[in-house]
Amino acid sequence: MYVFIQRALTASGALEGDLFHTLLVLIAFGGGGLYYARASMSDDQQPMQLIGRTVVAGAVFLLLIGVIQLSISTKYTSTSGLIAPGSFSVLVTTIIIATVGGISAVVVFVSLSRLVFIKRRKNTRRNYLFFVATAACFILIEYLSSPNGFGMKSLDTLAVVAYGFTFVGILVNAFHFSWILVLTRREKLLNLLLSLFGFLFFIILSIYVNDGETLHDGLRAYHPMLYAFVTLSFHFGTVYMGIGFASTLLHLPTAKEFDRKKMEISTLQNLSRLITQVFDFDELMATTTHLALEVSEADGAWLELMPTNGKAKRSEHSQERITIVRNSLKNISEIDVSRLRTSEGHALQQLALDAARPVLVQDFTSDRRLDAATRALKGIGTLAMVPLSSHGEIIGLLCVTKKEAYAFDKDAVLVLTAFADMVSVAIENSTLIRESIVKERMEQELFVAQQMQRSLLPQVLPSSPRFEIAARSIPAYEVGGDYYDVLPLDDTHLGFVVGDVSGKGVSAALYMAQVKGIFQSLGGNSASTRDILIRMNGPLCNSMERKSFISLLYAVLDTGSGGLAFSRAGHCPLLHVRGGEAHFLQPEGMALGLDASERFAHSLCEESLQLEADDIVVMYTDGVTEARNPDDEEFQYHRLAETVTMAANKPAAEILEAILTNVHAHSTREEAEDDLTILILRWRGGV
Amino acid sequence: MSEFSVGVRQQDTVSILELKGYLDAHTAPELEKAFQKHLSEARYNIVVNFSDLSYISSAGLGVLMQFIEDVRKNDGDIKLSNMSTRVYNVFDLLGFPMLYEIFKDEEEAIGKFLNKSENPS
Repeated sequence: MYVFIQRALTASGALEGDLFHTLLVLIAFGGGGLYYARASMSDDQQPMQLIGRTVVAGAVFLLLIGVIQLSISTKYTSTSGLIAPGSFSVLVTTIIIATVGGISAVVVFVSLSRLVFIKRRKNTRRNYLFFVATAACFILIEYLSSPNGFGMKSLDTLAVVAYGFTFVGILVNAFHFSWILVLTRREKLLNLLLSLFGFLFFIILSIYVNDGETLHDGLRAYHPMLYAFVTLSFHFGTVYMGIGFASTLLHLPTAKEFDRKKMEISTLQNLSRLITQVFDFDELMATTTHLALEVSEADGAWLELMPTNGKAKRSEHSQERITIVRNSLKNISEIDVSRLRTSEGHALQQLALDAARPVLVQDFTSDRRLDAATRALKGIGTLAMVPLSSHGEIIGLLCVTKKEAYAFDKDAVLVLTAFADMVSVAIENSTLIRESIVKERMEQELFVAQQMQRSLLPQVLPSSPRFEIAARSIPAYEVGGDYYDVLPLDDTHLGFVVGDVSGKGVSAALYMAQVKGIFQSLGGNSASTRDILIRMNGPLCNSMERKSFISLLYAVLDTGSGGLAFSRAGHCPLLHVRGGEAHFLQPEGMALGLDASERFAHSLCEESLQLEADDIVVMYTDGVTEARNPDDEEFQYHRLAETVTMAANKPAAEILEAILTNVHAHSTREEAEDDLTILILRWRGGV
Repeated sequence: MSEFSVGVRQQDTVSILELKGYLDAHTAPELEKAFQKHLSEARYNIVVNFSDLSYISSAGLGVLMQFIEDVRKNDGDIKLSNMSTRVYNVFDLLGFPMLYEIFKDEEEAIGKFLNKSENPS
């Protein structure tokens, strides 16, 4: 500023060819260019801000000119085109005009340039550089030709040509208005207003800069290059604002529609949020209606779901009550929703369920399909009910309301329908996830059951120099119905139990636990094996399902004498191997739990056996003998007998392994079909 | 897996269920359905023909146990016939012959029913 004033004071006369002054103007341009370069680094190019800034710059300058025009008379002397301030006050005014004009021109130029670069394309830069280059040429030629510059009159025509090119550059660059499209309707209205004012300001400024004494003479007197630059900026502003105004006006009728489409798109994007929320069903419900409000610009919304959603398939059309999802209610109360009735007194929701397609009530207060009390309900003008369906079945309803009547058109219903489809998918996914969580929990519980069942089997088997025991039970599923136990009855007696509950899985496992309980309460008793089984039968008949039964073999070993007494309740025969010969012993007896009458006791016989040294006794379940190979051939008794006979001189544990190896080799299946249990007693005899 | 089917024939007052294939835990509900249908129609004279049955598991036996009480309460019976040795062994092991009448031949079983209804003693 100091420089300006000093310069002006010392050279109140001609400013012609003044290198210092020219430098000053160039520095000002350079500063503007730098400012632009820095500003364009930042990414947040808000078109509305830039437009606003441009208009304000124009307004400020216009205001200044107005004030100056009204308050001071500005007289410039003109000698053969050379313009100079008429007095000292005019000189000061000139400096003010030049400074403010220069600054606003830079702001306008920079802002518009940045607008041009919004949503740039491949040749945006090329067009812009063309404009800048022609503008620079024009400014230079203006300097050379102007009487205040070098006064080269012959260049006047060239100046006009240069201006012509620059104007083409302005036009080419001023058509970059793609950013208007994405403005919201409100922003478009604001833009319309701003660009109208901007256009008016700049056209006034352009006229003034061309003719007006204060502006034209002042700027020229200061420096022709500044004059040329300000002129171009204002022309650029005029053209840009004019075209901007026209484009905004053209976009205005579609603005509302565009807003809606934009909303739809953003809602569809939000649906990805919906998909990720399937882990929390309640949250999904809340989000769904929230998005429904957005997508349809509705005032109220709620969801209703069929109780069997995603679970067991519904049988035909059973009359199930659709239920309101409480946390989905938006701007409507549960009571109001539950009071919606048709004129026939049915729930209004039934209309959509029966139609199996969207139902639209355009004028809620006068629609004949609704009953009088429902029509009187406040706050609903339009109601749309859209069914949610999955695999051809309606799983629920999405309902939206609007205060005004006739607020939804066909498109709105279509959008809602599309939305409802996505909601259905999200609900289905959510249900699947919930189911898989339940399944996982059940697996977890089954695992616990498995652990518990294992703990029911003896952890340590009794051992003695007189005998060897080996046992193993392998369930086909997580839990099984096989059971074995070795019970020390007294100092000289050991009880052996091998049982098989009919059926498999959890129910069998529970009965097995029961058998163990009963056995432990009866086993300590010195009664015969037959009596023990008879006593067990009663309670089991009472507690078990009719279709379930238990086969069981109970043997008691006298560890002193080697005498073995046993009874068989429908169980696989006991295998006795002595000196390379195998015998299956099958005393009479029916399975436990089949018959509560005397018939059970009547059927049951006890048998006994005097063990000799190296005798082997094998108790097992049918998982061994009925193990089938791919040709449907069972392992059968004879293979079991052969296996044990072959391994007869090995320790009990090895005989057990031999049986398991052979059974697996026979069946060749990865997983057994049935539970399998083996208990081996090897009698060593008196030591 | 192996298939299972139940064929139903009627001879006078006697219903004959012909079992075919594998009767195990998976296929047992099929037989259960057949029995339920008979009981709901108050047909209590039932002969189960095992001639084409190749395998029976404890679940299959369970189905017979499930209905025998109701059938007998209504003065009817479930009689079994035409078992292969393999199938008979399963029945025998569990002591079922003590609970059910098992016949070599279907006609024999039917005859037993018809004789009974002719001369009610």
